Amino acid sequence: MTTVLATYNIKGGVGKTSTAVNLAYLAAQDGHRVLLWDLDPQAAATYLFRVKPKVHGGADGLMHRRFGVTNLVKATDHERLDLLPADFSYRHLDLTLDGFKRPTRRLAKVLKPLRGDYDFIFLDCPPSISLVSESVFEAADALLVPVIPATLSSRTFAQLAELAAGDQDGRIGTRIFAFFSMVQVSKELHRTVMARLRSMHSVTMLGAAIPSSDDVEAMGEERDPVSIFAPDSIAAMSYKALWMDIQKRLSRPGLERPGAPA
Amino acid sequence: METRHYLLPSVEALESAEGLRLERVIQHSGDAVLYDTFDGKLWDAGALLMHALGELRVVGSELRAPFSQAPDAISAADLPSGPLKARLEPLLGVRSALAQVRISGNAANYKLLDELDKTIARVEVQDAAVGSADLGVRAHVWPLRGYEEETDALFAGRFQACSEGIYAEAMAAVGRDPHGIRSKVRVGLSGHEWADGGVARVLRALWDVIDANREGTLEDTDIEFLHDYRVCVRKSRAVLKELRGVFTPAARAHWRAEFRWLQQVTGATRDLDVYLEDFDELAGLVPAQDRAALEPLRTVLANRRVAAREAMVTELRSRRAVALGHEWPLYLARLTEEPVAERPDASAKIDTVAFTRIRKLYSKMVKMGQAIMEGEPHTPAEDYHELRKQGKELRYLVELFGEPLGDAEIVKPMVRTLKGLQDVLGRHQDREVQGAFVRELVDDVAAVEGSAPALLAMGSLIGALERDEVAARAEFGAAFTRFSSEEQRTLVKEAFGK
Repeated sequence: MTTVLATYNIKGGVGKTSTAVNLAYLAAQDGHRVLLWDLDPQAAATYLFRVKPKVHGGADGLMHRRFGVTNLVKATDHERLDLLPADFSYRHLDLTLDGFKRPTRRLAKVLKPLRGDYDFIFLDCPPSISLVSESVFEAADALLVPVIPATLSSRTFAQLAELAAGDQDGRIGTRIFAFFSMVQVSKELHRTVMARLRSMHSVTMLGAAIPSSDDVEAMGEERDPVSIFAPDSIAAMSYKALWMDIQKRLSRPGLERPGAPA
Repeated sequence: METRHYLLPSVEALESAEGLRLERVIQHSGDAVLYDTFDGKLWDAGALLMHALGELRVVGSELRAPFSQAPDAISAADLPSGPLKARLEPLLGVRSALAQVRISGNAANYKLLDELDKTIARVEVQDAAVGSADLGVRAHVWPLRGYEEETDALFAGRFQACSEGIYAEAMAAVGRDPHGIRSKVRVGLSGHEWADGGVARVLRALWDVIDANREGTLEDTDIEFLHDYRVCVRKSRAVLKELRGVFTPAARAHWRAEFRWLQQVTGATRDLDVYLEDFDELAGLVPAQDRAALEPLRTVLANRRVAAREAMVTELRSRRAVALGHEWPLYLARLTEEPVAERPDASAKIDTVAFTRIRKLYSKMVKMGQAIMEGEPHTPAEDYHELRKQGKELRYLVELFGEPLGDAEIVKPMVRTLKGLQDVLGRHQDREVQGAFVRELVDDVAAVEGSAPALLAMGSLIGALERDEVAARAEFGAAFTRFSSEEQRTLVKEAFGK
């Protein structure tokens, strides 16, 4: 069975892409067949895997399933890890989706033929709240949300809690796993905010956190997951811990969304 | 991913080719040993295993693991944990990967890069020999998914493509078929040939598989050798039994007795192989808290297997077995010269003889099945067993003669339905036999100190087996209805109505 995981945050620059790339790599290293779909027109994940940011037929062809999504997949340099690349035309993905009768179901439909080929599909989402993100929520089994422990993150948290509360029926849907990203433990503010947010129970906060690190920044230069060029670094260890934490959570059944009527 | 093969004038010709951005990953001289299962599972899955430079790797991938020596056989349990094991374990199952051929020479592995330094293909070049046979210089190219066209465009026209890679050539140099040897024997037959000639060729092909599996059976290389050995013995017996008219009565009686004996002397070991292999599944039939208590039963089964194997090896090395192995191929070679007067089907066409028998067997099974249905719920288990035996014979005849001589489009659905019936009958029979066998082992287990919990768990297991036997019996009706349906009868008539 395929598990679809999406890295998501309304804000940019919080570590979504580095999380998607590192976790997808670790999943493949565990022996799973993994696909990463780079939905962000900035194509950062595509760049990190050295793949050309080009999809035959663009966003329109992909969403209308003109060319067969399986033919658009590119192998990365890593065993069992494939990429569905970004394309500049993804910047109009909202418009393309809007042309469909049930736009939020479209992404899941496009992914359907790939489900048999992969154990995990990672969606690296652009930072926004839009039809694209709503489609991602519909397609994903769980959202992985990096949160920087700074003042404004309380706001992010509130939005997440709202998202996690789900529809009025309180049905179990996409699960949300938030985790701290770009953490600077030397900063008093980060420590205070982390302690405060961890005490809130409206959103599942994972134990593992990703530090602010030169090694993560170096991914752009090395164009590889951290575990390859700095396997003993704190960043690499943190991604491993995060991946283990996520797997553990996924193996448990989903809970009722908080705030759902009894 | 399909492998591309190219003949190269030299290794330098590749490295110096303009426009090819190659990054050398590894280069080595010396010996490499190729491994595959006896039945070519790794080759067919595109995951041939190679040992070189103190490591194992899957050819055409980056899966590798340290492994100091190159032994004769490697089982899944021998492989170090990691992605290489994860890839090979499901392919190997209970089989061992056996050293197939030793290649000597020079080899180098490269990444083919595009202008973004992205790997688009993996390339391996071998300048090699097997013994004194020079295999030349060849490149194997594995394009990565999504980069097939780019890779082909870079190689096409530059180097001469060839259909086989160096590994197939190396296998051929030592007389091995890379697809291995399987119990599913397929002999090309023509409806125009005489029955005795066709039957002799099929029996000879079956014997070749039996003979090829003999050493692995004697050495206990893995349990599939004995399994395949016995499957082909059983198929040979089915041909001898069902196509009686191509043999003289005396010869047929003699060879049927010999093959029955072969089947008997190998039976106990195979049964114990299956019990041990399926032990966890059998244990799964009892409540979770009782499973651990069954361990003494596993020990008793393992001890019995040692004794059974010793007896089997003695028999398979006996004068009788050696004589059988010598005389049977000689007999088959001169079968067509045996007196025709005593062989009513000798001068008939192979398809006429085989198809007539298939039709009759099918009708017989339908009658037997109807009798079983009418006799329920008091039909003896033996009747189900007899029907299963007939089903096996029908299946073998269809596989050996029906498929090569008939219309595959019609034969295949018929075989599927037959298989559905056989699965139900097989489960019914297995549970019956397993229950009886576990009862038989009670005394052995009782002799083990502290075996009281094991005996209680065995009681629970016997109960579960009986329940599952009843459940299988309940499923018989539906499977038999499909097998004997009007549609199925029409299929049989269409396929074998000649």
